[in-house]
Amino acid sequence: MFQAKSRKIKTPYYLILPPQFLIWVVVIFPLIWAVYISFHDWNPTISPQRTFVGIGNYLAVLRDIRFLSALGRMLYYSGLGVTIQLVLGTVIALALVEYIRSPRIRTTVLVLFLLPMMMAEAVAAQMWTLLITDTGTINNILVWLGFSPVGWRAKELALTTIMIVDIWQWTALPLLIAYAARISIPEGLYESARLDGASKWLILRRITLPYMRVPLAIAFLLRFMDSYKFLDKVFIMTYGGPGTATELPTFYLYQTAFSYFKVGYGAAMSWIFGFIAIVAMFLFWRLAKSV
Amino acid sequence: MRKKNWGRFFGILGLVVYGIFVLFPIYWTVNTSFKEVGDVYKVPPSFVPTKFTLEAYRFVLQGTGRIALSNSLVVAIGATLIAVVLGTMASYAYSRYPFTGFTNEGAQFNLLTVRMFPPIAFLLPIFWLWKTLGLLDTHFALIVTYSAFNLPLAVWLLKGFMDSLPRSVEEASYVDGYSFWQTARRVVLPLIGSGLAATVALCWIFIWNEFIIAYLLGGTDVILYTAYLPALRRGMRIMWNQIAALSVLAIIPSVIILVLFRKYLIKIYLR
Amino acid sequence: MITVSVSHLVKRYGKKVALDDVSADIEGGSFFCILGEPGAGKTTLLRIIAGLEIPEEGNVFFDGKEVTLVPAQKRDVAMVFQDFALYPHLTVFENIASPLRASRMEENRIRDSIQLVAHFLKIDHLLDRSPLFISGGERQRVAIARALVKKPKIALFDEPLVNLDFKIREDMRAQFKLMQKEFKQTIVFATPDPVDAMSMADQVLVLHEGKVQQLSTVWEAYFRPANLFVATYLGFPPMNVIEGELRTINSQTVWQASSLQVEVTDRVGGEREKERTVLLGIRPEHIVLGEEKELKVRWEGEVVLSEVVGSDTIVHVRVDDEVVLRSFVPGIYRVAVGENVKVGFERGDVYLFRENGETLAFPKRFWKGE
Repeated sequence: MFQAKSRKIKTPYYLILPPQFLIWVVVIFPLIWAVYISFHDWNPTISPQRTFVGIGNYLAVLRDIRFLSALGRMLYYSGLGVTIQLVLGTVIALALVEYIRSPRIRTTVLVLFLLPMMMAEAVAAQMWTLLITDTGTINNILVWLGFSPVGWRAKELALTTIMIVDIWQWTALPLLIAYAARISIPEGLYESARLDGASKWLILRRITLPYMRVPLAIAFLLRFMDSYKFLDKVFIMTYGGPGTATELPTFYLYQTAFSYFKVGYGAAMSWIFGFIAIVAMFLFWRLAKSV
Repeated sequence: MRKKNWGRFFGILGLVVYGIFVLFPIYWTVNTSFKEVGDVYKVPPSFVPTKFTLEAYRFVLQGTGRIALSNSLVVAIGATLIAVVLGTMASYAYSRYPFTGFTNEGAQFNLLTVRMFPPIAFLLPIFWLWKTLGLLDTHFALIVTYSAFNLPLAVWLLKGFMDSLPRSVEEASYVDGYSFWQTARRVVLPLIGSGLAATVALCWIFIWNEFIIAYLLGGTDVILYTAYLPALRRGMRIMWNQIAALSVLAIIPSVIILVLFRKYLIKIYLR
Repeated sequence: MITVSVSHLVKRYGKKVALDDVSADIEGGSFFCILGEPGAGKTTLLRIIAGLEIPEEGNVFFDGKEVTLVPAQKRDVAMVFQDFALYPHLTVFENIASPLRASRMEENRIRDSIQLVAHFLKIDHLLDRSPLFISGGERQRVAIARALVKKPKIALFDEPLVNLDFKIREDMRAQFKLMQKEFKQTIVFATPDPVDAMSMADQVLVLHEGKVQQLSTVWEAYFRPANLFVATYLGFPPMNVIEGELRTINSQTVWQASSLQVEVTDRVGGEREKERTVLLGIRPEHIVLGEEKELKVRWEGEVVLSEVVGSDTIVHVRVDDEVVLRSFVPGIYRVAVGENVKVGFERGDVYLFRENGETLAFPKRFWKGE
């Protein structure tokens, strides 16, 4: 309660002004600036001159074959990768609850399975690079066992390799969410189903999965957002290569803005990409709600 | 009975296989960090160091590695602190006072944009902001940027905890004769303690693990460990044992947080 | 002496009017009851007195000094919240000590004061416990102890009995009265339960939809209700009310509703021409079943329901197509549904209300002034 000077409720603006100020300076204001700059052609390494080009940048991005194929790769990398993470995570979580009875062992195993999620993408990428270079550990083991080495970072396989690393690291999140959802289902439901003589498969379909639907949809959403957001793995493991084989949209965006310094073009691209991402999220959410 | 045992057998087998998949790279990193550099490339690979040595750790902790880790510590602590302190203030206000239209939904909007837009899309303007101000490559710019990026998360998490705190307890404190700030210290903060701890843990993990901001806004004068890792790979011979040692050192804080906060992590993701 | 007074308070929440022109004076050392249904504005009034809420219009005075804008922590009030609002992270002792620590009292004086209050409320054995692990009744006594220990100018109780079970409630009523005498504490007590008011209060303020219905002693409100709302609200089971008309038959004024008639000449006086529709009220305890007594009014009816409440009986009797009367019979009274009975009451016991609810006449025999 504050000492009142008048009868009107005094809103404590001093509590929200500092946080809002921070957000405005570091997030909102730069975004507005990005809108402004996206209508200009500007390469600061060549000249400080900004030329107004209207929506030219946007039209160019939509015709940019490199950007569009990067979007296609994202569909494969994020779409397939996250789906596998979700399915694998759910299966592992259910297996944990089903087959490991002792709560102490279960928690220990859970914590071990969550480890990859806690480390930096950059660290995970480094760890795996050690394993998958041409003379890396996995190939060493393969050769030792009499197989021929695999070109993990060759053109055909590179994106899949990164996807596997992403699966390795982030299956933990759907796993955690599925586990939390599973243990919050009241045990009485299972008991009464067993009394009715329901089969395991029926119990899974009628009780477990319906209860886990919303948390799993949220898990998918969170994972999908993060998987298109982060470029750390591509940056460290392949730097977009070989050629443009692992160039995801965020990485192309990085290249445009910070290697080629096409700032206006990059700004336009980030708006288009952001817009696509938000629409995709929104559509997915509607779909998940209606099913 | 027999059928059930087979199901159990395959179930546990599956868990073991997944466990090997998950733990092998971590085991291998730890293994490598204790090797001499020549040992790393041996065929067949050595599953335990041929010669156990702390040489890689010594090197990392003497050179740029130590500077990178301490920079990361300073930035992560500073940014977490700012995000959580400002987040506590804002979430209290949002939870307790009716804010008209813009400010309340504005905060939610901020949260969504920050969460959904790829950081690289923000970084373009932010990079030019700090460059124009001449603050690129400083602790200040990194701390401010990280705290701004994590503030919406902190507000969102903490508002949940504030909302579940009954208002009458605070009012009882006013009636007892305590001022607003005394009440905040005596009643509000102790009662959202666990929520505060969980928020600190989550913000810490996000900031500590971040790469691209560290790479673009820092990198020369102020280098964070995530940005330093790829730098270690440049050069004639890659010092994998040092990279592994730095990775192991970098994972330690997160592992501690995971073990301490596993219950809260489950709760947070359930909401 | 008047300790706290509020005048012409108005408070709205959005479009809803919580308090509409509420004024009251609260006498020092008295037990003041605010009575009303949920949503009548009781809590709002308490919160305005406490300083947790600022009224849009009107003023609050403590000892004649205006305090409308003074915040709670500077008012020297205490409050027992409906959910008790104990500090869950502190022990019972620290909970009670809280207001004393706020005023920086010495440690041994704090200890003595708490001992005194805790002993009176029989919670000495709980002092080291956490409020999370004691029963609801104990929690309530801790909240009361916290309110009384600092000897505030005024102690406000927000429906503290609502969350308790029946048995504890009975005990607490007696305790409250004792406690108030013991500590000579001014108490404002908000409750939806008229039994609370009738068993404890000196003064009662009846609120309905934010408006004051009556401000008087509790017995005056019971025997001389200002309107139909107060009349039906105070008393259990509630008063029987029948809508009828005033007629003049053989130069006498008669209240009539289809076949039912009561002669009311001496009760309405000169008003008879104006009042066409008049509501007749008769309390269930004044309705007698059977024929043992000589009563002026006697109707016939059929028992439709008989319910035992505690150790008494409420019999519902249909005396006309539309009219069912409740009769309160002390003790367990056994009567079969469908049985024909006679109901009777004294003419002097009826209340009459105007169509708009205002009281037209009330029984004289109970009320001889304070």
